[in-house]
Amino acid sequence: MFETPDEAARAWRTAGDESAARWLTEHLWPLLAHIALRHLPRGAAVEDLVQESLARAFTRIDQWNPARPFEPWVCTIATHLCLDALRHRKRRPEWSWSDLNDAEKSACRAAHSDSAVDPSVTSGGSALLEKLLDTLSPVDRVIITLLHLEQMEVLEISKLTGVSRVMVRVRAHRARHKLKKALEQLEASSVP
Amino acid sequence: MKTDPLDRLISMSRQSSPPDPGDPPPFLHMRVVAAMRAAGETSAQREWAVFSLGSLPLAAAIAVVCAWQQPHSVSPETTVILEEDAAGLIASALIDSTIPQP
Repeated sequence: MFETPDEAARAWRTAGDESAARWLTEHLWPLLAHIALRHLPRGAAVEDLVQESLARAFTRIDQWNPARPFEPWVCTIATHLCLDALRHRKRRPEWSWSDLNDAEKSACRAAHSDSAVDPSVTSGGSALLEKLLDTLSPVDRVIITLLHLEQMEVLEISKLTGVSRVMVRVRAHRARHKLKKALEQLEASSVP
Repeated sequence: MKTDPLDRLISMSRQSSPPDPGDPPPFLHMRVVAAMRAAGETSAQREWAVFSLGSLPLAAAIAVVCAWQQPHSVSPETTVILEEDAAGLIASALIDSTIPQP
């Protein structure tokens, strides 16, 4: 039906073609769901965020410049909605050693050891990092996720978040410092 | 050289497979359309609210302008005629009061 998201977006923009909106919804689901899963804490309503992102993109389609690709524009909307969702969380938790499960404890010990990482602890490492990211401010959390987990360039992160390139670097540096400190405190509290 | 524990943790996180979003949920398109309609209605209600709020100072401004123009709206001729009528009424009342009633 449509070859590219840009073509479908143009059809929606010019004629309000419902089939274009349906095609875009199905085509963009994996990308937008991935963004929501990356940024939002586990158990968050991914579907709601994707739905809100698409509804906002379709409603404000006049603001999209057809000379530019559609997907990054929608990704920016989804990232901003993730930031809003993170800002609405009531508080940022502080984790102690007793809050970690066995896999996360193993990952914490593995991170502090010099030996090669056992593949069995990687999922625990992912969960532990997510807990540590929970302690950061929403913007810092998103920046660290994009920079280190998605391995994006600073310029891309700046475009997605609306934070200047200099501030992305500064925030990433400070956020890394906070994460290191939190990880050290966890490790220190593991010793009885 | 010892690797930074945070970098090792980040590396572990990268190695673990990211959660699979799976297939799009059924009727997602319908939900998106419903959300768009709801957003449209909300913005329309906001416009009405702004209009109703804006109408108060507008009405006040019109009332002030009308009140300011009120003395000027009566022409001098009309004022003279009204004054003459009033004078006639007073005179007739005086005459009526001075003439003794049968």
